[in-house]
Amino acid sequence: MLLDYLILSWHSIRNRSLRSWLTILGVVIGVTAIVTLISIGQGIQNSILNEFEKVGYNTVTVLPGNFDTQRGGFGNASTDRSSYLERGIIEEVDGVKVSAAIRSENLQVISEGLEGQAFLRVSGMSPEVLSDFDDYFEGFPVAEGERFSFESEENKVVLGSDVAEDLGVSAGGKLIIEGEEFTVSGILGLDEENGSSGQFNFYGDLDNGLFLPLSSLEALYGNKGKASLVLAEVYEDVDVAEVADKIEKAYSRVNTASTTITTEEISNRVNSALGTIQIALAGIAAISLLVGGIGVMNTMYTAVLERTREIGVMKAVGAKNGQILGLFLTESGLLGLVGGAIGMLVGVGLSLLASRFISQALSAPFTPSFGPWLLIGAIAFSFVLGSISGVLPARQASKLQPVEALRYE
Amino acid sequence: MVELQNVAKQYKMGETTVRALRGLDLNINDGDFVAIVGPSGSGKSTLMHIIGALDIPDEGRVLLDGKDISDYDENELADLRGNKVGFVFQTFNLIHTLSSLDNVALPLTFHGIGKSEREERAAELLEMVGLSDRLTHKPAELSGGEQQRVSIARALINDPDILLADEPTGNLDSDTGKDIMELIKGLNRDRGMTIVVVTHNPRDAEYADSIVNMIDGKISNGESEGGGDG
Ligand SMILES: Nc1ncnc2c1ncn2[C@@H]1O[C@H](COP(=O)(O)OP(=O)(O)OP(=O)(O)O)[C@@H](O)[C@H]1O
Ligand SMILES: [Mg+2]
Repeated sequence: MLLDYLILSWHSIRNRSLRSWLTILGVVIGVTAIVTLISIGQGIQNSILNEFEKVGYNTVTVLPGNFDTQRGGFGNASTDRSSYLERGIIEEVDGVKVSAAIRSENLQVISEGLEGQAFLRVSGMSPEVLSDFDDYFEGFPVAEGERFSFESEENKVVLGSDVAEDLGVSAGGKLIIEGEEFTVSGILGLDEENGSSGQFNFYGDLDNGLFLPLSSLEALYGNKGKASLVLAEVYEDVDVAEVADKIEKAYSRVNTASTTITTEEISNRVNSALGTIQIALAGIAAISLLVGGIGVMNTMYTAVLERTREIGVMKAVGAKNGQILGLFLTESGLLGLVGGAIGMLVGVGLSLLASRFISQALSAPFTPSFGPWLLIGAIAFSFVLGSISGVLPARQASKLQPVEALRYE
Repeated sequence: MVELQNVAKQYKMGETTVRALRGLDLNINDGDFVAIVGPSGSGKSTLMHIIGALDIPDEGRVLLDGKDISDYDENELADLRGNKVGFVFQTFNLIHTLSSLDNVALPLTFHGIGKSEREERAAELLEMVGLSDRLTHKPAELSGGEQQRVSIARALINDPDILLADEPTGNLDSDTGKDIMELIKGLNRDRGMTIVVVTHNPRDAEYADSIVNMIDGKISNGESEGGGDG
């Protein structure tokens, strides 16, 4: 029966093909807008959250000073020499399972491949950074050479690929940092796809970093036990936010302002900020869908008028009111369905295209997110939209008196 | 098989009321071939619609096979039309987006009969009306006479008890009209089908066994014997 209705509907849609396509176009535009906006919005949200989720939900990041945590690039701010965190404090906070310290300084670097000297950001890390928090550095993947050993007394440094190129050194080469000779033990090779230099990376630009054991940095610089960033992993069964609070309090007791960041807090903020934007965009897209629905309704009213005699004939040969209703609902649903299917495809195409520009603009890889619910939902929704838009015209058709309908010119 | 008792029907047009039928009695028996004639506006079409359960009277009773259908609801009337009545119209009233085959098969769609059976039966009927080589033609690709044959085939597909034709030759030239009347007469003669034809054409009326004369919403002379070839 439904198949018969579909075939009959298809015949009459094809018969009014230009008008049908224009009506479908109205739905297509609305569905395209929805699919594009939602998939891009969801994609942005996912790529931001992915970055933070790498750090893990049971990790607290602690920075000295009061930060506006809504800005990106937290690591950059910690180069301020005047603010440090005392490392020992965090180890005594209840609920902290393991902690790690990173200290970043701008130091004088000299290399043979470089004319003169450079002042570069050099980050010292405690062993726990790589043993417990290596996602913070995207897994710290050394492509050329090897990682440094924390036990060794030798001066070893790992370079980001860009800075290695700038300094003209490769693995095994030598550098002078603050007058001390260092051997380049390895060069990082970050997967472009993983977003090495991504806007959303927690540390900042890994490709431009110089990394060495914290002990080596302290040997160079003195001032032991200080950190410009502390990472703390809390026990599974404790409340991360509570521990973060305790950490801030512990630091304030020693008169150090600190800011804690938890992944949950970040993801909540990102979700609510982007969620609001997405709802606003979806609202705008919904308006264009509404307009599409009104187009369907208009077309169906015209169709009912045009086919009044046809309706009379169908009733004369025994069609019941419900069957006429079903026939016209199928037709308007079909208009919606076709519009939805095309709109979905165009939307997917459009957001893939847009994602290229977004990737370029952010200089980070970006993929829109098409959940199955979005694709199936778009089609199902537009079928329902079409059907609903057809309810009034279809009711009008079904209620026609057969004799009146047959007389209609 | 059809019995009308004191049937009246009126149409309100703003202030004025048109009394299309004014208390009319009529008996049509199984196997009858009745012609209804009369001037324009005398209520012939209105009468046909009431006989065919397409409309209900304001007053009086309509008995179909002894059952009073005057107070049937819309769905019950639709069932009656779908099962017992076949309509043929002056203007053919084919659905122009559908092929001959689909037009003929259409009533069965509303009976929930499957596609292959529908098409088989439609093809048989199109062959019977002499259009076996026009199955895929759309109405616009058929002559007037051919379209009327398609509509007769459509009227027959639900195997009706009664065939109602409202001026079936009105839009056809006289030769083609004659062919159509022959076809209708054949249904009455060979299948014993009950037939009511409204016509303006005295030559068409001659095919009938009896003639009903209508004037001003009434039957003027009761029933008179049809002419010629009875
Ligand atoms: N829906 C309607 N609304 C108003 N008046 C109507 C309606 N249907 C029929 N009438 C009137 O009822 C009267 C009978 O109409 P009907 O169509 O039955 O006449 P008819 O005998 O079939 O005429 P014709 O030979 O021209 O087809 C006419 O006066 C017509 O104007
Ligand atoms: Mg008439």
